Amino acid sequence: MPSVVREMPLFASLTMLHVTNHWQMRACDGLRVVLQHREMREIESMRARTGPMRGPGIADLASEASNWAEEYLASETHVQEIGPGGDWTKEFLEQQHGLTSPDIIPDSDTRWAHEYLSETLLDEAASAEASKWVEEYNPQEDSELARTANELLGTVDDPKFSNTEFMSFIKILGEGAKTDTNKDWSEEFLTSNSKEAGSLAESWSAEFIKERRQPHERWGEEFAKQLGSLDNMTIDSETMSTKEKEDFWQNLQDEWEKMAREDELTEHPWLSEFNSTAFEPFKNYQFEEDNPLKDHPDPLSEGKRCLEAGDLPSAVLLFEAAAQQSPENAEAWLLLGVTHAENEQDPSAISALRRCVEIDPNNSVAWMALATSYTNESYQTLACNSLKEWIRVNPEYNHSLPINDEAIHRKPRLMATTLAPRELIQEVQDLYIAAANQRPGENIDADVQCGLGVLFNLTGEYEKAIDCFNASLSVRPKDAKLWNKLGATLANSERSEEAIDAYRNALEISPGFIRCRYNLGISCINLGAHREAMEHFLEALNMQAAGRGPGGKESSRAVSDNIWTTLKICLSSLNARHLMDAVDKRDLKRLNAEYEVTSSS
Amino acid sequence: MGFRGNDRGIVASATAAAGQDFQSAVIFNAIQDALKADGHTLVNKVKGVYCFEVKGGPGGSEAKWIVDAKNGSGSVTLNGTAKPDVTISMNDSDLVDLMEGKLNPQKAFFQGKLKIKGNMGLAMKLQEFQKQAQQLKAKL
Repeated sequence: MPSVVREMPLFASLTMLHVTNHWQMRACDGLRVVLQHREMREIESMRARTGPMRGPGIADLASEASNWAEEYLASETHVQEIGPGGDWTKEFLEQQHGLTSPDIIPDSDTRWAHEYLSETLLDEAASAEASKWVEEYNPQEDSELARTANELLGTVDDPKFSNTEFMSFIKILGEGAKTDTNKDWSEEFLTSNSKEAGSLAESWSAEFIKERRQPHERWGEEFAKQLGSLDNMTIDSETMSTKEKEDFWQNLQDEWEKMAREDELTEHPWLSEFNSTAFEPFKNYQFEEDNPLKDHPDPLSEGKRCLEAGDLPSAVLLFEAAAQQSPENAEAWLLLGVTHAENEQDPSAISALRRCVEIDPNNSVAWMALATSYTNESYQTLACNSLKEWIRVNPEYNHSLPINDEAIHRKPRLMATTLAPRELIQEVQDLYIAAANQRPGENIDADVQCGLGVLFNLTGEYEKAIDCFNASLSVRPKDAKLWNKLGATLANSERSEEAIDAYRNALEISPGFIRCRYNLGISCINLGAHREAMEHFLEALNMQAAGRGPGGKESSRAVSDNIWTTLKICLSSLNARHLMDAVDKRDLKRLNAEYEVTSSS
Repeated sequence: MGFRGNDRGIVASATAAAGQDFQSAVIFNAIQDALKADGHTLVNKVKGVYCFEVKGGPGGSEAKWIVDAKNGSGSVTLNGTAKPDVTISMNDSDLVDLMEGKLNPQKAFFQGKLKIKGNMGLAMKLQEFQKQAQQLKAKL
């Protein structure tokens, strides 16, 4: 049996292809090969095409294939013994070592097909069909399948092919389900349109042929780019039980994580739970190339003055200068980061704040700011870790953190947690609630409440977040950033009118608060006041454009793409098509004129 | 398919006008704008056709949008008939929340608020459009 088992994958793939429509796949290792292939989605879309005669053969074989599947899975252990990561692919390849011409399948291959057929087929009708199939499989006829088998051989030496969690998961699924559903599966297969099965095989082979013409490296690259196996995942969530959904999502995550680690993919917000171990966004800070204030003699002090005066864009440039002049100055990086956030540029804020905590890990202001920016960008794990670090560096509260907490030993501390996202959130929540309870009655710690408020925004518990921000405002009523946070929470929970009140409070205290003005515009859109929204966006953009050095040169760094994008959306709701190209050209003058906004330079 | 010659494929007939009354209309307008702005790039990234089945619209009505991010520079069509690679079924307000980043997709998936039928990889590429819709999320 061993020889048959090893070569089974190719055949298995053919028989298995049909059932990808229903997500429950009865898997085997050979399935890895097929499933990994990014072209599977194209195969699915070609299902409608009529196919060649070999269809029925496969369909009939399927009835016997269920037994075969069990046999194969049972012999799985044999395959694993070959060695870590080696498994069947290496042995398979070794056997094919003598391959020369791509169009000729050595006798050993056709032999296994015969072996398979004779061993599993019991009834005559089936074997009649099967021999017909084998005939068609004759390599001499230059059949696609023959070529296909070789493509398969050619591609299996790519390590990405063989081992993924996803594949093992499919196997587990197959094993778990096989006792009760194997029968259904094979019945399903039999009742299917035999033409479909044929065309499936054909298109599958066509894809392999196409694939073979590309270098293997490129396959890996495209695999990463095109979300590879995820494209092969077809589901119908309505038919999935809770357990199935859980397993599915977990493996979606694992698969993504694996791909991301290998190919430096960006994180996926849907799987933001994953963003822990290898992946960290906004790593490197990008300085303005042409900073007119780069050589300012005392950029840090001047920057603070600008910040105080509400001139955020100039402050950005000055703090950049400060950070460039003294790269180890944590304060410069901190100020750069918080100013970017206020200027509606979270990605830049995150990069700068990261630098700050690298230099000064005890900088609690930086950790809280990071938590906020990460939350805005939906990076749950990173936000939670930042909140945790805030507690850790706070002498009043850090006693509640275990001394040998694993995160301490990690560098940088933002990274990695072995906790599942839900557990991490719970842990952070417990820490902050304990901290809040530490202070009796009216003696509220505004930062603890702020941290809790940020956390509840992450979890979508907006009512609780609102309570927290209200509590912190009771202690710091003149904190424009807190008012903005309250407003944003209200806005995101559909309480736009109250949000606007909060924003107005913030802007009264800090008229140069660009982010807040931007938020105000968004709330106006939510209430249908598009014209007013335009005014707010333009005011914000005018302020950003006014951030220029003595030479009068405009800084592109200080301008938020976010604001422009939202403005564009607002314009289209106003059906102001004629202004679209003004937006594309960022022609503030024209837009100002249209909406009667006076520029603030 | 679609309504050529009009500014937006969505506003062209009596049934289409009803589409604009959905909360989700904002989302589809945003998607359409994104496609108009940079359709070829998006199509190359996404390569799929979505069908959005939206329930719970004004007066309990239902509507269907086809977002074609596979052909040409893409298109958005109300009550389109193109064959989708994935069908997303959601409530009007839930869809808005999802696309604006206020409703956690995983949560929605488990609660059954987000129903996906078809190509999961494509469902995840909705993120490309979420980026557009998230322009309406307030920032802390």
